[in-house]
Amino acid sequence: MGALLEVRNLKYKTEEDKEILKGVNLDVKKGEIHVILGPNGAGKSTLANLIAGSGGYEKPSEGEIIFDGKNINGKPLHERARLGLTIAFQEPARFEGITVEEYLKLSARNNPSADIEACLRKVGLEPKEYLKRFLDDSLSGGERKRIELASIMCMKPKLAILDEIDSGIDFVSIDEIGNLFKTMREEGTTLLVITHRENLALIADRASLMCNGTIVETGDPERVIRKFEKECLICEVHNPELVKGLKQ
Amino acid sequence: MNVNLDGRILQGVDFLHKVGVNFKAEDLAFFVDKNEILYKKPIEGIKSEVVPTELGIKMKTVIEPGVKIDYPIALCFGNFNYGDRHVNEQELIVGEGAQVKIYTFALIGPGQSLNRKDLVTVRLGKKAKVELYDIHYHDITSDINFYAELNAYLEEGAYFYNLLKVTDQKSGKFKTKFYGELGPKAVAIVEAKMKATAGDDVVVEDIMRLVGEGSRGLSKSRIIALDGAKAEFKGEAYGEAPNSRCHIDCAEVVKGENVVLKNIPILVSTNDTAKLTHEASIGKIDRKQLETLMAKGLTEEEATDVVVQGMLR
Repeated sequence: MGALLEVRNLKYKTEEDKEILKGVNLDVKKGEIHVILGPNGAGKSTLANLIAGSGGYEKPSEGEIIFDGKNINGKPLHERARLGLTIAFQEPARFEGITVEEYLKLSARNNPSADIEACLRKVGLEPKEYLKRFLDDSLSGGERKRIELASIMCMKPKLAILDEIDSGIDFVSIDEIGNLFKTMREEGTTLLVITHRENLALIADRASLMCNGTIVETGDPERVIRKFEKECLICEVHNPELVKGLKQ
Repeated sequence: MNVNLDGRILQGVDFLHKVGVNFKAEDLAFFVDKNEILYKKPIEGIKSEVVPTELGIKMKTVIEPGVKIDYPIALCFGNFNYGDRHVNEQELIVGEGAQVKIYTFALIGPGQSLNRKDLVTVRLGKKAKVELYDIHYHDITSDINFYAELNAYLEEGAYFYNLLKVTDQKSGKFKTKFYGELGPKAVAIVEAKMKATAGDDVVVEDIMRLVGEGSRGLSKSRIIALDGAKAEFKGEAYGEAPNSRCHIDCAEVVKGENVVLKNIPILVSTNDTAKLTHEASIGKIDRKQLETLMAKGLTEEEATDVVVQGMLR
């Protein structure tokens, strides 16, 4: 399988000259579930935003992002989405006056074969109960995230970045998330999953470990998890309180 | 029902259909053109007196206790003598336990000029329930100078809902003032959804007086202000009775340049068990909302329209 996404020597500095990404290299192969694991503050969300073109991160300080053979640096979020690259945010927005059905139809506007009811069922929501509900504060955090996953299924992009999609969601088990991701892959969507929870990496085909603005390891998920547990959980930079406690 | 309908009614109904309201002419209960009553349908359980005045009409409607009308009553107010000053005075008395849902439409067509004042008083008896929808269609080329005052007095356990909607094209110079006096366990919910375009000057003022124990009030406004518009919201809540509650929620959204927005909440509690809260926001559309939609392939402009239409719905 060839790379659908190639990230080359990606660097990002803030206006205050703080280096967030220090030369990230990453390949995501077409059809894989790739998990990026790393502690809070490692730069995972900045990387996700730079790839998607969201959060004001349209252009890196240095480096290239190649999606489906095209350099997408500087392209706005909606243009990347039209190329088949989308992102599900950690906290997807809520909307007054827009129903779940309308939101899913908007998501499916370039995928006329989408079956929005089937997409809802796949994320564990009964269409009769949800289609006419508003996408507002009346939904729980978990319901909102499930609807976001359904919207990605309706959109059927080539690549979906799922940023901390498991946080706040009431999935019964890791298997349920795993099965959902596999369904999305079977339907033609490659997944790049961003998480700080090592158990989520178990459902990946490949995983990358991100630390302090770089990718330090890519490959077999179990090996990446072991490295994460061995080095990141007791890292003085990201877990100072824990390390202090251990030393005492 | 075979009704010989005036051409102006048909014109009004045609206008309603164009803007997506599917009332038939025969479904209307009342149609007035300034001070000329074109049509009035008798409804069982409702006594209505309408008197033409120099500038409009004076109307008193009484719904007898216990009467429950299970279909919406539609009242339509037009003014085909463009530019005239126009005053409507209405009093609605709803007896104990009675229930009614009323739609009023104000239709202002292309090039029309309207200088109108609506003074409405609603009195709800014990456990009466009233839903009042006030829906305006002002053509973008019309010239509007409108003042609407709604005073609602709710007895014990009464429920009142009011929606003012001016979202189709423009608001014009539009000032609306709601005053609600809520008796024990009464509930009042007042919503305003307004769209202000260039040259419009919108003022929404809601006053809730919670005078009865356990009364509940909610004032909710959504105002979208486009290039060159002015909009002001003033929400006042007075918690005077034990365990009374009121929430004021106003969001004013800017889209464009040279927009002036004001948002003034006033909460006054004279009873230490009353709870009054407010939530106010002024500014551009939330970036996260735009990005969530843009990640589906919508341009920023398209995403903005989706958010705005949702808020004004």
